[in-house]
Amino acid sequence: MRGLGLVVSLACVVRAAEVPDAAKADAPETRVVAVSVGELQVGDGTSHSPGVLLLKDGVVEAAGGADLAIPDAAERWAYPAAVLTPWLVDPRVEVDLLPAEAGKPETVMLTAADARPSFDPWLEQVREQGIGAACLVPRGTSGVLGRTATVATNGPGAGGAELLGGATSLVFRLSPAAPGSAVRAAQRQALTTLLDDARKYRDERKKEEDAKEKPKRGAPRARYAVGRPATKDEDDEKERSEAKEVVLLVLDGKLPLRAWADRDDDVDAMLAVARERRLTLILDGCRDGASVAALIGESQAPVVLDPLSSPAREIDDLIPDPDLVPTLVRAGARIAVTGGGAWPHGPFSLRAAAALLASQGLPHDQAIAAMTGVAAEAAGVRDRFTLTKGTPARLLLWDGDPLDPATSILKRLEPQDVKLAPEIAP
Amino acid sequence: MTRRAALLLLAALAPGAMASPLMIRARMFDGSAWRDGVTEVVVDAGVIRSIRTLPEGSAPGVPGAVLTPGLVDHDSALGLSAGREEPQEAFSPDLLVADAFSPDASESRALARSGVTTAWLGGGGTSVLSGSGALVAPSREAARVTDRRHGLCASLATSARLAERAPTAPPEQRDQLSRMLSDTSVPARVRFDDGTSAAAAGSLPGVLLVGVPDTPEAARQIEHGASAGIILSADWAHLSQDRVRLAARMIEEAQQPVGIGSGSSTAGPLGLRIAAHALVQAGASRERMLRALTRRLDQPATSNPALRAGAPADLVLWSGDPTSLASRALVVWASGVEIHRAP
Repeated sequence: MRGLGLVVSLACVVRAAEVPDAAKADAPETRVVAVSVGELQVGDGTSHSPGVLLLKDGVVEAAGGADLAIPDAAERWAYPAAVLTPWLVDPRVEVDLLPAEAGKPETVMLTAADARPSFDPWLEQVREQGIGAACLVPRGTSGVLGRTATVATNGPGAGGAELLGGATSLVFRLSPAAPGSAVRAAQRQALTTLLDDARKYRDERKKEEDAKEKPKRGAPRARYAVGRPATKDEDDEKERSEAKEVVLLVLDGKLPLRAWADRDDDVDAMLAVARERRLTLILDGCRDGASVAALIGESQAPVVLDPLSSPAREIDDLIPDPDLVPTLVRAGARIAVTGGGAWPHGPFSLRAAAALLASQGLPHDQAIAAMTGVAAEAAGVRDRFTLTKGTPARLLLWDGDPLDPATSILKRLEPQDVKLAPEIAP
Repeated sequence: MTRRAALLLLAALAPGAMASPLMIRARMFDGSAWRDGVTEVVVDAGVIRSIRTLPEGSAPGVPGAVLTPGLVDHDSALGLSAGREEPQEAFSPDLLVADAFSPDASESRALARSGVTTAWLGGGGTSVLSGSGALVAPSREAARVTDRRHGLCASLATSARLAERAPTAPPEQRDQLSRMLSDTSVPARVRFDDGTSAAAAGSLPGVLLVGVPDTPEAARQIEHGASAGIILSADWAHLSQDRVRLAARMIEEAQQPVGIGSGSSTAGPLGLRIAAHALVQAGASRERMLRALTRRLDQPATSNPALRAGAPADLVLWSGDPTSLASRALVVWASGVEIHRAP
């Protein structure tokens, strides 16, 4: 509760809306609230100090500085010493699924959403830390690891994890084996093979459909035998087809490819694949990515960095490349940060990881965005974790800089709080 | 020129030697407490010559910067990638961890820039007695051993209870250890990891207990033991929140002195500051945390602060409070020699 007394004492209602009694009865249900704070972090890398957030029925209407126009009828809440941010997102929480066999169709069908029930006992503690969502990423060392899923910790029915996205990206990991290793070349080839096979599958399917539309003589041939259980071969074929449908979503840019790679040449290769095939790309890892920072920045793909768990021996060095963060920043890369590791310990370290990136050269506002707006994009839930117009107001009110470990959360607000519950006003 | 004068000149010209006295002006934590205002520290020949508080309104050399003693890693595995575990024997009192010390260039750089100026290497947890630890200091080149035989390393942790090797029960292990750990000038370090080992280790007098309790009961057994101190050591980036909170509470409430170790942290010496950030976030006060980061549990307890006139100049100038990972080491001096300067 450290700091709570401080801000409660500092917080004051500047002026409650004064509405005549007669008018109250006819007043529309719309509720407009202007929240004034010492610092407003929008979550997209921008901030206002001091800042004002205008909410209409629990939805962000505008975010700005002290000069933001506030309607006369708005309720005004003032927390002059506080910092306002969106809820936080950890864009990578590793979960164990089945032992993955790299590149096999069945791994494409794996989804981290299956790991969700085991998360529930920790939700309350994670929520207390201000973590609003976590992207579950199948654990594995190389190849296709399955699909990510993103769960909310602060959604409706807070007793269980609300699934925000059951399949938010397809994970392809490149092992950080030794430079020049044939293994790594084979891994990259496995991805292009997977994509090419899916494309061929679509071409063939289209031919089949075209053929069906033509007038046919005799009864159409069933693809599978009717009236008996499917054979194993038929089941396998069905699964392969489903897997290819998933990969087609990647080819169409509807399902992001999450390329988890650390070495610069692997990152370069993933960027090239995404560029040539117009894929939606999320980069993860990139510990050795300084030399390809310009390409990363140009791609505008979110880059998930994991500064705390840098078992850097895997990539030859105990310490992260000191040039990585500054070089990525100069290149205009969009950086997200993960606490690293497994549920629930990774999310607990999220703020520490963002702080470490700040010490390595990530500007403060971008460090906040790395664990809010950009992290949300990497987690496939970009519509929730910024304070931009039209976004439901999920807010954290802090008694200081969220990057500082001594800072506490004063209030956690949901849209329904802002819309319905006047008792949460200061 | 006399022979003595010639030797002094050679020493002054040696790489890393300081050419002239150094003066630092900053807000200062002296190892015991924060000093008011801006403090001026003068260093000469590797030793702090004077410390004085500047008049009110004096400006620090670098705005916002904080000067502290060098950090102390009480359970370091630096340079021991393959040599930390020696599970063959239950008791190997003659082994020297220093013999396994072989840091690569990146480890030496990591130590120099971490702000850690004293790293106390320790053995792993699989032998009940794994030999002697060693002290390591950073330098502008490779990290170097400064004391090859510095306190025995013992373990009552689960990993020391190997079925094929007697004794396997912590009480028996404890009894044998208590006979072997007596009469050492530097306290031995004894690992624990669960309630059983915490109970056995907590009853050993005069040793430093190494680990993080997993339950409030284990924490009580450690806190109420007769140990010389507690070294909270773990892979801090991935430790359970419950254990972090228990550790934070121990920093606040334990009667014994508390130090921090980077232990098995994959982040190396940075693990010490990852610990600080996590523990402050979990409720430890900054001042107690800084004390835990900078005190020397291997030396006799003293009321003197680490930064005082006449003390070795192991100093770190930080960009901000070092308990926040958002701060970084701007300059690190080991025995008055600048070993790292942030670009």
